[in-house]
Amino acid sequence: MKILGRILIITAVFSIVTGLIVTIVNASGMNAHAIDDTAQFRPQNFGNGSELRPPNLENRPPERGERDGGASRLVLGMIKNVVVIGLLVTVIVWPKSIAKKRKRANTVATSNNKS
Amino acid sequence: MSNDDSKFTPSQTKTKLWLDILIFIAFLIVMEPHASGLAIHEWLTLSLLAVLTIHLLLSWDWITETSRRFLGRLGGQTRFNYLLNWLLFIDGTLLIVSGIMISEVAMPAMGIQLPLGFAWRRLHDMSANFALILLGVHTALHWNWIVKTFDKYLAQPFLQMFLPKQNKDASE
Repeated sequence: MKILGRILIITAVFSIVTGLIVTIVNASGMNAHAIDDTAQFRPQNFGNGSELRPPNLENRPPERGERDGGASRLVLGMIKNVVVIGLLVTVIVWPKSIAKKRKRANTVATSNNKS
Repeated sequence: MSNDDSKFTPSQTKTKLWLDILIFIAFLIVMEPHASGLAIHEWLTLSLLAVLTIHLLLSWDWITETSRRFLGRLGGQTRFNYLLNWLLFIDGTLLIVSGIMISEVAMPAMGIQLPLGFAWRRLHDMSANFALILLGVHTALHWNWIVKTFDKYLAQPFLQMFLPKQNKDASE
């Protein structure tokens, strides 16, 4: 029961944040160019950006939803993101650990001097 | 979310660790929709919602305690961590909402047709890039816990599988 209540709280907060986001996006007019039509009236591939590109252009970037590269690309992309996260971790954790070591060394030196 | 594991049983800590590893791997896969395919990208993200809810439930005590003490006496790092987690929650919500708005597989499969919105696509890309940075900072803030727990519950048990055998071989 307690867990169910907590899930409800999380869902409620999620719904409030969602409502705020949708309201802000609609009120700001960012989504003014939204096209409210149904799929059957749309030309084929309309809305995914492909209508703006020449049809037989080689080496074009992949469309949204178009699979490209497969497993090797997936692995490379995952490595790229791990490197980004790793860099952030290094930048934040390393100076902190150096400062901690220096502080510890100073404490040891002070206690040695006292004795 | 907290580095203090004194309130958790070893099995809870182990669950937290495996859950976090699962979230991390799933996040890396969903960040590459062109390589994984749109179907995996959308369905995996939607199923991640349940896992992220469990992640929040496991940190519930820390969330409520810090929320209560936020305006009172609280350490600088805990305060920063709390704000970062809120930012991560809001960005994650934006990521999911914009993803639902531009969905081409999951929502149509559920019979939901949403109007096309070009702003949502831009917001989806922006929030995804921002989520990567926030996740990096989130990981950095919990680095000590990650290293300690990984060593205790994964590395040491793995090494123990081979070490007794080695000792036995040496004694023979």
